[in-house]
Amino acid sequence: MAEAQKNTNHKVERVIMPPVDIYETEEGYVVHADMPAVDREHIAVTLDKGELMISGTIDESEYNRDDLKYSEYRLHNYQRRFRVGNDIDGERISAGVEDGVLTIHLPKKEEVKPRKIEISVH
Amino acid sequence: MNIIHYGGNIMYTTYDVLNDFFCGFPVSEYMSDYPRINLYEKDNTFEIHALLPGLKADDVNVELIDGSLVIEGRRDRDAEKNYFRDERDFGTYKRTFRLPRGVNRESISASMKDGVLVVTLNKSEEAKPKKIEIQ
Repeated sequence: MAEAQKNTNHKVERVIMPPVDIYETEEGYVVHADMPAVDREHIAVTLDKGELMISGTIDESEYNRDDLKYSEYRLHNYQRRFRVGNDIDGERISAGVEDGVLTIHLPKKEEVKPRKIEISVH
Repeated sequence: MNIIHYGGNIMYTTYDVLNDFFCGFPVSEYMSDYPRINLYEKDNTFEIHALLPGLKADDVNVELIDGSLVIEGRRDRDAEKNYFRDERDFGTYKRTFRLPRGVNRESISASMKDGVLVVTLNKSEEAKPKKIEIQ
């Protein structure tokens, strides 16, 4: 499928935008991204200037091989960016990979978490 | 997944190609889009790769039923959560492939790594390539 690009000097990199689920909890936000065929060593999550970037590196030669006889999918490097709000505590972001699914926890800053105010009875 | 978008007619594509490829046997009536598969052929083996992100080996069933290879799995979304994006695919995954005569049914193996299932089918002796000596 890269044939169309062979004759150009500048190589256009194909990337896959992984599908994601995002939900909010009281503690923060959770992102799940489907990135099959990528292991922990080949995934990077960065936060820079309010932009969260997910990237995964695929060894294309391993998947888009010559002996491929029939194909319903192609694997390429994964990449996706999100803007995150000011309510995220960038220092405490954590991420893990399991069975080709990347999970990122984005905790909210303490001051934006919902807090129950005790009503004192006089 | 937005890797290759086939629109609505992936069924026909799959049907035609696999039907053709596996010696013209009819494929099962039941076909779904998922999991997406790639088929590789080596001298002595076929490999079916299926994308099943989020599934563990225990969540996937690979069975040989009446000459057909059935790949089946299920993944459920945690419905309790307050989603504001829900792009991933959930539900039942099932694909059925009619195996041709050239596949050795006794030596089918499967493995699962990083959300990719690999089913390895060995060719039977008569289906392997043979070099003919020129006299």
